[in-house]
Amino acid sequence: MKKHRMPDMKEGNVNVTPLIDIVMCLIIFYMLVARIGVDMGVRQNINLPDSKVGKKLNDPGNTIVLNVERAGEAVLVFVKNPETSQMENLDPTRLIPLLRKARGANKDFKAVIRANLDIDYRFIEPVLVACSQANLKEYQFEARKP
Amino acid sequence: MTPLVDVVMVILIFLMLTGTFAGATHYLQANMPPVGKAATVDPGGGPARIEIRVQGNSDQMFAYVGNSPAISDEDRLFSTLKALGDSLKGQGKKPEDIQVIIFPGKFVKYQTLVRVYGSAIRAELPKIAFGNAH
Repeated sequence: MKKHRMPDMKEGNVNVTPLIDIVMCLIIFYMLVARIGVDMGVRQNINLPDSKVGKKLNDPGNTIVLNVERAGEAVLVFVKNPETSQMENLDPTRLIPLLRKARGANKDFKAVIRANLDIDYRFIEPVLVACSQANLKEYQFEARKP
Repeated sequence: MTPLVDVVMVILIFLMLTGTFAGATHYLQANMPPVGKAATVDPGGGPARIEIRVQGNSDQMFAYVGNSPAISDEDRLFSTLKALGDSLKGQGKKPEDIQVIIFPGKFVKYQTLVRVYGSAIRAELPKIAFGNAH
């Protein structure tokens, strides 16, 4: 019976052109889609509520993120100060001057409110009042897609 | 060719590890409520107003649209709001002239509010605000 032998190995280069094509496509995809180094002051420990409806955030440059958290019977708002770029935790009354300063003369300035799904409305209301007193025309609630 | 592949791979791994994608969340827009008006629905030419009072806890929701009985189901709330909105639109109101104001109880959970809010949006009533807690 005739034995089949493996073909001899030949010295040569591996054709990497298809690999480079695919990798380049992936790089272009990531560069277009991924957001790198965009820190809006989002706290990741917040468990957002679910919502079937919602819109995309169109204008992140005109937006300040307010992370509302319960601290015992008080409420704290974690916010990135636009002047110092540092995260600060403020009570809602101290939030008003910061919001006024951040808003300036920009009428389209808005706040994004992030809060835990099980927080009571009594902890969110002072933040809405602060937004109102800082003359913000609108605010948006961030919710998770189900 | 090998250095090019090395550099490209490094860039690819960097982008894969550091990039975050938009799309896991979305946003519910609310406007500041108009002050000094108390009517539930203005039958005249001015902007109409629909008030929703909300009570409940993390498990149950009780919503009252105007003087309606308690609604504990999200779909029923949607159909009630849709009927009310359609009736106002039939009277010549534009959707942006219909102001929905949600008055939550102090102990109503945020998730419940988002559900009420979602029902109003689904009922094609885009102008929504939050009132004082009761």
